[in-house]
Parts: sequence; C-alpha cells; structure tokens
Amino acid sequence: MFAKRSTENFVIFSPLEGTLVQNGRPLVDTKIIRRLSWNGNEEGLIHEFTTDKNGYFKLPIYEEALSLGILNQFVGKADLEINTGSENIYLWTSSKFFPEIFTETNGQITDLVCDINAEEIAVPMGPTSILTRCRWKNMPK
Amino acid sequence: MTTELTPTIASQLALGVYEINSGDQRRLTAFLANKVFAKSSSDKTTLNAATGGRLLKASEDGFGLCSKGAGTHKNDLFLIFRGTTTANKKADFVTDARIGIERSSAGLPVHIGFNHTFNSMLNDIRSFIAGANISGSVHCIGHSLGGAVASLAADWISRNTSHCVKLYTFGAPRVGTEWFTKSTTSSLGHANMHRVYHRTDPVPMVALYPFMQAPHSQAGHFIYSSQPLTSGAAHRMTNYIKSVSSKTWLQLSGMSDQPYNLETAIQSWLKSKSPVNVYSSDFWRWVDSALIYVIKKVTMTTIVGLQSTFIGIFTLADKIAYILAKGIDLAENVSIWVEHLMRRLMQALNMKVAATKKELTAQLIKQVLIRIRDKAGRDASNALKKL
Repeated sequence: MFAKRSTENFVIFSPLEGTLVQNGRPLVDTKIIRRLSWNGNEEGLIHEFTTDKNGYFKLPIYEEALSLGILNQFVGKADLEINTGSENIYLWTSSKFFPEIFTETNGQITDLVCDINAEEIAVPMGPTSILTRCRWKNMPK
Repeated sequence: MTTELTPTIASQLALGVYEINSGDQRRLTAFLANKVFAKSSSDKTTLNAATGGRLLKASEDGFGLCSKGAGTHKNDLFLIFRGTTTANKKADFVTDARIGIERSSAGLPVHIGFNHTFNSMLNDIRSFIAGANISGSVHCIGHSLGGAVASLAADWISRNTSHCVKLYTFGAPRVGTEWFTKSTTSSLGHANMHRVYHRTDPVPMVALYPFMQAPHSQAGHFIYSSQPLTSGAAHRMTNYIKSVSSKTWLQLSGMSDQPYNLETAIQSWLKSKSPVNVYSSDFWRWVDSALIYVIKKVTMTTIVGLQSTFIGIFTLADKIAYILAKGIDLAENVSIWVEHLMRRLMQALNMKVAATKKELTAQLIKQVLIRIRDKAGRDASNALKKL
C-alpha cells in the first residue's frame, strides 16, 4: 500500500540578496553566517558570505536530493546571523515545508534591506512566521 | 458561542507545528506569532511526548503545544500535535508501528502506541486546561500521527471538561475500534469532527480492521483524486494545505466516496473474479470493508463477542483468524463469504487460492492475514507489525 521511497529534490534555502546596513549605513566586508538544517541533517551546514563595499550580499540557493518516508514531513530551517565581535545578531529565521523554490517567502522577495539595529519582527507566512530584522517590498503584515 | 477554525487555518497550524522540535526556541516563537494565539508566554506550553516503543527506542521530543487563543479565538484553547519527523532518530516510526489494542482512560479500545504517546502528555494537558480559565472551544489539531493523538486528546477533553471540543485531523490513521469510534462520535458530536483525507492517502487506511475511523458512520471530508494508486504525496501535509485552501468545511463535504459500506457493493467485490491491484487505494478500502462485513456475519451467528475479543494477549491476526476459521464451519450462507474473502486476499498475495473449504485452516487464514498486513505496511517501517 505504501509506495516505495523515491528521491526528490528539495530546495532547503531559496536564493536571497539584499543590503546589510546599520542605522541605514551599509555594512561593508561583513560576514553573514547561514545555518541550514533539514530532516536527516539536524546538525546542519554552516556557510559564510561577505558583504561587498556597498553592503550588498547574495546568498545562493541550497538544494538536497532527499529520500523521505511518506510519514515524514519535510522541514528545512534557515538562520542568518552576523557576529559583531561582542554578540551574535540574528537577521533571519525561517522554516520551509514545501520542496519548491521561494516557498518559504511565498514568492521571490525584492528590495531586501537588513538593518542590524532594526527591531526583530514576525512576518506571517501561512503555517509559520519569519523572524527577521530585514524589510522588503510588499512584505506581509 | 463556538468559533470554528476554517480549513485553511486548521491546515496551516497542522503544518506549522512540524517546525517545533528539539528545543528550538526561535521556531517556537515564530510559530506562536500566528494571530490566532495569545501573546503572553504564560498562555502557552510545549508538550513533550515520550515517543517510541516502551521497550525500544525511548526518546523525548517536542511533540505539540497548548496555547490560549487571541482575537476572535480569545476565549479558546488550541492543542496542536505534529506527525512524524526524523528529528528524533526515527523513534516516531516505532510509535507508529506499535499496533495493538489497550483501553484508553475512558475504557475504550484504542491503539497502544497512540494511547501511550497521548498519556505521556496528559498531565501537561490536564494542568494547562485547568489553569487556562477559558470559556470557549478547545481546538485539537493534527496531521498523521499528530491527528491520531489529537483525536485522543479531543476524546479525553470532551469527557473530562465542559468545553466544546473541535477536532481537525488531516490524513490521520485509525485510532480505535468501532466501540471507540461510536463513543467518541457521541461524546464530541460529529459536527465538531473534521476528518480530512485524500482518497489516495494510505495512512487513513491503516491499521486494518478492527481499527476504524471516526466520526462513526460518516465519510468525513473526502478529497477526490483522479489518481487510482495510493501515493506518499497524498499524505503530505503540504498537499492537504493545497487541497483545502480557501474552501469551507461545507465545500469539503460535498464529495461522495465509493459505496464501501453498502452490503451489495461489498458482496459484488467479494464475488468478483477480476484481478486486484494492491497498489490501488480502492483495493485496501474494499479489503477493509469486506473484513468488517465477513467478521460481523460470522460473529452474528456465533457466540464470539466481537469488541472484547480484540483485547488480550493474542495478536490481532490470531484473533481474526480464529473468528474466520469459525465462520468456515458455519452454514453455507456464512462460510461462503469467508471463502470469497480468503480467495480475494490470496489472489492479491499471488498465493495459490484454496480450492476447498477444508484447505482454509485457521493456520492458513492467519498466514494470509499476516501477509496482507505486511503487504499493507511493508514500506512504512513495519507500521502494521503488531497486528
């Protein structure tokens, strides 16, 4: 009755680009730490990216071919942090339940600006919310 | 006044709860940011279930949560349970596989594994409800294994509190026997039970008889699929979200299912000589209906007590084989149906079909039942192993 497991491609993290600022001023050469985890890899992966001279960053897609049993619901988790030297600041915490690209943000987001001094807010995304200090165009309220 | 959740909100909560696991406080915060939940942290608690077999992998893991409501649900309480993940070293699979029957706290025959998981959270649920001071409804929500636990939670709350209880399950397996399904339907009221299932989702079809679905004698919210075969995709909560999106409960009630409970339709299926497809969702629904039909026919003619028979030290396969073997010795109008049933099952298993009634010994019947059980659950980590 239960179909055999098949391998399926899951987008763990959809590409994200934007500008990192502090009080509106670009943060240049700043390291952004991306932590990803998903079913079967709870310890996860850590990637590092660096902003350019304009504070611009571009985080690439991350995909995995997974073979989940039918009783397992896919959950991909992503956290973006920066380290100021004295503390870790979360920029972004999201969860992803669908295998397709951009499903954690209900579509591709544009004009992303992340201010490390901005208040962290919860942006509703259907089943859950994104906790973030970033703001973007047409952001749900 | 009772406030019912829409299918969209109920399904989103059933999916979102999956992110709560392994003590991840940020994701708990993200999930609880939903506008239906109260904002104060004292109004929420996570429930840690002891999942896993009693003698096998015992594991503590986040399994669900209680929260008071907000906005239009400010007088309500939410209990949301997640289904299976691999996050807790597959211990949940063991829970799924622990199929046997024991009595629930209300004395009703239910699945041992689900009951054990629910009982491990009962103290937390009891104390949260006692301290919540609510006047509205209690919403119990879950997908898959989470739906099974939500069903037991809803049953307990309806019997032990005066709150209106609303149950929302998606692709949930069967929780108890007919005795349980009748009693819980009466206790909750069938209008408060929203069971959503895809036609091709295999999980609501297990465990096979004597387990049954609630609400009793109601089809639930059946979602038609043009695909004839069972599929893992049909069980995904993400696909349930797509199926119910922007629909009302009434719109989800409009689909009529096959006449699996119609006596003449069951008889036709049993008598049919057409080949069977074990990968078809229809096949398993007919197997289940036929098992119920034949066993009831036998027990109505003998002194075998049906419900109490299923609780005890023998395996369910032993007990069902015993009942069916009794049926073989009865008058032709009963034994013929046992023969038809065994022939259909043996055909599905590619076994040599018994030519005479004499060949259908209790031992052979048990062997067929075990093989059909294994066939049903082969690729679900022995989900039906304890039949």
